[in-house]
Amino acid sequence: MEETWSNLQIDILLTVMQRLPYVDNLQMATVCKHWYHASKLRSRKHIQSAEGRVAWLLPSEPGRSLIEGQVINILSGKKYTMECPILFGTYPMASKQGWLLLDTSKFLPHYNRGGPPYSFCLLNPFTGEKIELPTTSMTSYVAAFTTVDGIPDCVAIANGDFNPSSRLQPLHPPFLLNLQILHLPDMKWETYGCNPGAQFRRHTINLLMIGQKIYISDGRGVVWFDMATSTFSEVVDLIKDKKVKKMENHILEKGGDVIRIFCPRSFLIRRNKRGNTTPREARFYFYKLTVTENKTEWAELNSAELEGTSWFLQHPLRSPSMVTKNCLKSKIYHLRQLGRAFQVDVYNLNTLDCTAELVSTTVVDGCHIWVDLG
Amino acid sequence: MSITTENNEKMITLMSSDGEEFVVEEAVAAQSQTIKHLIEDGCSTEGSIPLPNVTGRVLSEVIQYCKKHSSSDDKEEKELEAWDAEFVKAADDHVALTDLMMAANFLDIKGLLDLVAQTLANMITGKSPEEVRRMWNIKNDFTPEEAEKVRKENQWAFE
Repeated sequence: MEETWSNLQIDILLTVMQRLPYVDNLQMATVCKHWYHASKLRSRKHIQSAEGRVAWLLPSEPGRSLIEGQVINILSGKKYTMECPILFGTYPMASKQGWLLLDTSKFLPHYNRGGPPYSFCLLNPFTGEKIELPTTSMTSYVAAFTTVDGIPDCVAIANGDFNPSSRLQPLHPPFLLNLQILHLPDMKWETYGCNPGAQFRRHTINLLMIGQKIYISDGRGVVWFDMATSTFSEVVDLIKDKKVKKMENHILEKGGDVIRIFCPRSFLIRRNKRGNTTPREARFYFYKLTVTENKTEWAELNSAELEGTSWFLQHPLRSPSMVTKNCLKSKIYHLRQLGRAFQVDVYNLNTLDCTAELVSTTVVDGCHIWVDLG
Repeated sequence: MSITTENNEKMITLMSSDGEEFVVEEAVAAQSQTIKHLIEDGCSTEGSIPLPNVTGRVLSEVIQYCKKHSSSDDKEEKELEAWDAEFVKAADDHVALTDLMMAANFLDIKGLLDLVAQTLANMITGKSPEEVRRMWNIKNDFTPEEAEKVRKENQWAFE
């Protein structure tokens, strides 16, 4: 065939380009004019579809701000520095399709005294677009947002008050949940209190927003708030299966479903620290929340649903874990803290029996989180 | 031309752009949506199906892929995956892969297109534009001013 790479049919070139990570796609625009036009054709929506996405490692010190706008592409191991001054002195709360939700007040002096107002902004570090959100008097532990066609649409933040009636467990005081929701066109925070039945342990609370529903979960259960009806659901207990008892769990969204993953606990691994601390093989469990009219249950994911997926796991308090579908082989990237160091354990996942084999371990300097930068 | 084997499998003949003929089971060829539609439209009864965009060398590789993927069931998924990996490895250089991808695109075989496109994307990932140009023998047709402008558009990506 006569065609060469510099005049390859544009739809074929696009088939390859849409599988490239974001940065590689930008770089390939400079190869030649033909490729430049192809990379421009790859629409924004396309870039941010699940196909071409990778999770990025963003350095973030707990209790300190983002030091520099540097991100790491774990697949290529390359570091990129974003010239985005807004990143300094902010704390990332959530990320989705290229956007970061940043807490911009966490490092201001008044925050340490526990006083309002608290401020947030949405930032797309690639395009430089920034949306300032109105300040609120409510502090937040966790946050989430939705996007429509790659543009942020609705933001939710949550925090809790201690429930004075139950102080029996001083280590894990149950608390009542407060939720604040902001629809971007309105730019006004609405406050909702969670029903008294839903008591959560603050140290593991996690927030997911899928469509009209906001899922709030902790180590014990999950409850969701339906924005269409402004009502909370009943609390759904977590999987009580014996085989996942004592395992570390992660909650994340996959194509509109709430997924719960169980894996060997990081702290148990740390306790056995001698030489290589990560087991060569591990068994993972994947469950999907299925809600029908008369029954709510957790169903195990089948092999087809796990095919070609990359799972990016991390501590739920830092930011939710994520999943992308962009490879031929299923993999798990587990970001773990080992003392002061952070490391990414990469596993090959056997989708038939959910066993995973450790392929590599990469140590990263300082605290990092996975972010969905498209 | 429609012939039947002892196993009662319907056979069809495919003809490449350079006139080479391949006799394959209909079920194998029908993995290509393009061929499937041609068969449904009755094009296979009048003789061989001409495929003007695909050379014999590429077509034999495509058939190899289709044969493997029509004979395996789900249980052999892992083996099939390994086979796929070997298959793209055998095609080796990016020129052969590009031919294969264009054929997969024309014949509309989704699995093969995905496989080859992902392989090529993996080859490109992490390479500098200069490395890509050298590998694929692409001429940089930007003027220095244009190159600077394009670079500036997304400067941060070039750290």
